[in-house]
Amino acid sequence: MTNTPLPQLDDQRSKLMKQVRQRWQLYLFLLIPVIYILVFAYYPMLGVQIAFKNFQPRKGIWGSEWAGLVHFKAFFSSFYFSRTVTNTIRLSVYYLLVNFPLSIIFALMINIIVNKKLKHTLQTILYIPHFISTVVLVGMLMQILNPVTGLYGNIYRLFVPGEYPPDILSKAQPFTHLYVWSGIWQNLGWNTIVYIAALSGTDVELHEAAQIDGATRLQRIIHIDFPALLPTASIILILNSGSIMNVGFEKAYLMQNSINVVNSEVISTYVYKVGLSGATNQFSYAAAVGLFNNVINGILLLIVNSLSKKLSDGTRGLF
Amino acid sequence: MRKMVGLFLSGLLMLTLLTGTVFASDLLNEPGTLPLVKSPVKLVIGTPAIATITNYDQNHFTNYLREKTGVDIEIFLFDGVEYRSQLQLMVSANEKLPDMLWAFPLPPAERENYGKQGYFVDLLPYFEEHKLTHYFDGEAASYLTEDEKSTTLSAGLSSNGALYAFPFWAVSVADPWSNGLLINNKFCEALGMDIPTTIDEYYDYLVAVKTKDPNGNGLNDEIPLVGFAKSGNGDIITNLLNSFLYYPATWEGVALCADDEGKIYVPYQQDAFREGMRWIAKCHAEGLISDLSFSQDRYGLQAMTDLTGDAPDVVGSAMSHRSYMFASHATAERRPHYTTIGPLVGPEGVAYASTWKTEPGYVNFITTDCEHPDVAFAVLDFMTSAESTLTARYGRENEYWRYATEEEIAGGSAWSDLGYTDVLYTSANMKLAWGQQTDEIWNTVHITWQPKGFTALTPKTVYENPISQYNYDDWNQGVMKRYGQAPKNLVGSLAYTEEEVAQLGTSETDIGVYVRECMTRFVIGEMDIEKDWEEFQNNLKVMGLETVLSCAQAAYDRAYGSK
Repeated sequence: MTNTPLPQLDDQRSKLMKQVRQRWQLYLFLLIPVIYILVFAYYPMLGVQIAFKNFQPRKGIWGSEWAGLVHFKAFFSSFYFSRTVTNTIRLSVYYLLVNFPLSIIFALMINIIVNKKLKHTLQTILYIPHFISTVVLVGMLMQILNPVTGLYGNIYRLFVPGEYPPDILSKAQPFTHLYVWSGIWQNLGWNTIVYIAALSGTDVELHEAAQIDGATRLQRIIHIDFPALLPTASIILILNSGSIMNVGFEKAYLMQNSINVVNSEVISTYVYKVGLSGATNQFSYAAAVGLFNNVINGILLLIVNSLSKKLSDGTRGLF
Repeated sequence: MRKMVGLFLSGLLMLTLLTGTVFASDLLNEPGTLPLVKSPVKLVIGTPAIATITNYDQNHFTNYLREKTGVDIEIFLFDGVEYRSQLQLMVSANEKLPDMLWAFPLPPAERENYGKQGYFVDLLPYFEEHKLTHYFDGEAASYLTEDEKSTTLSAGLSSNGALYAFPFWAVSVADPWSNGLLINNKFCEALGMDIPTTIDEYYDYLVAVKTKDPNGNGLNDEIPLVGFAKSGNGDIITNLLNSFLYYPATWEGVALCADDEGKIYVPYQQDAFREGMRWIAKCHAEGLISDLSFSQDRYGLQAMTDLTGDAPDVVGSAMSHRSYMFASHATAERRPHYTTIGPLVGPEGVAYASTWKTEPGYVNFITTDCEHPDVAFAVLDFMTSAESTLTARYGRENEYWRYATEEEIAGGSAWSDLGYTDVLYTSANMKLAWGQQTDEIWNTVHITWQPKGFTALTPKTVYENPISQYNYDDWNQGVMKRYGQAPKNLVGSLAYTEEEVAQLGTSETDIGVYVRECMTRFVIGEMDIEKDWEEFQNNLKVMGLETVLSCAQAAYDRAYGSK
């Protein structure tokens, strides 16, 4: 019996081959980035298997023994698991909930400034804090909020001489707020860039038409600018929700002290402390925790993406 | 004819190969002579790059070693922060490691791992043979006490009995006794009180500072007690607890202690700990302890104490090392306002100083990629000599340090109160390279042989600047009060077997972090010492405290023998 391929598939294949033959230069261009991604992004992913092994540097990734779920069990059963995960999620979600609407509102506000010079100067000033390193930012925070020698303490003593104000840094509750709002101060300007770019693409004629129809400024923002932002905003929201479990190590570690550790111990600082205690399996342990983080992130990403698609009737989704 | 010449030449070449291998140990000269080698041998030395060193290759100490040992030293720099990961990557990529690793801190478990997997040479046979230990057995050993002699090798043994590192001592006489309080003597004068010596006198002093305005400016701005966080030096809690029971100097460690019979225990399971926490919590509740002690770093403290001109003193007592309170403690204007005190005597008569077990550093290794391990060992042995140590610690002779004059030797050691009589060298009033941007030394003590007995060989120093003299005298008298005020048995680093490491898991980290957190919360009142004590103890058990204690006991018994 001869194996005759379906005429449909055969057609498609020959079409593809024809295309490749005709435009082989384009496909050659594509070849290099594809190889780059395969070698430097996909192949290293195979290294995540050390999360299920006891990684020994001498035996390498492939030669180390399998250890099953021992690292995951160690992480889930550790005393601090629930605290670190709760803190991580709380910080991330809080930041997301604040950052998302604020960036949009700010972008809308900057966009309606008519004076071009003022607009550009304002934008530049607003996104300069983004370039301050985390260490410098936390240093500034510590110095300003010091109740004895800082700006906060000195201003307080102007009004209440001889007394020291309550120490914000030595309390657990304010940590979350300080962490998030200092992050907002630092990154708000930078985050508005994408939105302002999207806004500058709105049709001027739409605005003119609306003005003729008698729309107020606010109405124009709500009905023209805001819908223009929605595609960009939904994509950014989906992407941000895919990094909820990744609270950066540096800032949390620098701001952490033994009083606020209830709120400031996040997954990354905890794994750092465990790694430093000298067990040589810290690579495997850190890989297991990282894999756990990324699986959660991936699931969240898919959920938010499908939600977004549902709410927008299939038009606004990342994939 | 050609064939004959060819055969002859190849035969000659083969012979030279043989000479390379057979007579390897003949590279070394007689022990005790310099240079160490008969003909130049090349050794590659890997070390984490310290930021203040401007040049390692043409560094004075490197050249000094080249000249004295005759070894052609090549430096391979590791990243100053990520050197451990870098080494792991080199190992996993099967790269050739440097012949030696110097000043390379590795936790005992990692050191044992590398050794067992065949990357580090077991140096115990060299020490037991006594063939290449000329300086180690001679000069270097003369500075050690009997106790130190027995610990030098034994404290570094891995759980399989091998010694994978070369021990180097780096302990100053004063260092382990640098934790404690400094009291503002001007406040004492203003209040008409003596410098407190007991915990009750100290309490009265704190209350007086808070209520009686000793700085006389009419404002209630005095801070009775303040320290700083993330360091044993500034740690209010563990230092004050030593008036109730012994608590070792650690920030987030498990705080293992051993009683006189060698049984391992932890202080936070004891009733005396509870008493101590009650006392400290009471002080905090009355506003006598600044909350900043739990959040600020040493520079925060410095901003409060290193004042000048008209600014009134505000700190009544500081938990600190003298050098953390001032930018330059030898010349700071307010330094004479503070007096270093010894341990405060508690209600039961307990008065310990929070300290740690002094051990040599085991951070110098010979890798198995080294072709001449004998020569490498001989170089390390030479570095235990006095001259090499002084050159490595200070710089070149007569510019950065010098041998003591007859007069100074006659004047006796700065630590004569502790029984030290000899004087060998001094670096006072000379050029300073330590801690500066330099190419004179390597700015690390890990390549120097400085046990207590060596660091005590300095003469009594006389300073011209009265503040410097006060700084020196005050600190020394404080250290003298604290010296030796610790239990007989201290627990240092322990070498765990692989099974024990697996059993311990994350318990040590969890417990250390939890204890620190709970101690702080007991003091500031978020946790109640009466109501929440049971929960505290239960959580410790849940985290595996029993396992930690039993593994520690096993490791301790292996190292020191059960008593």
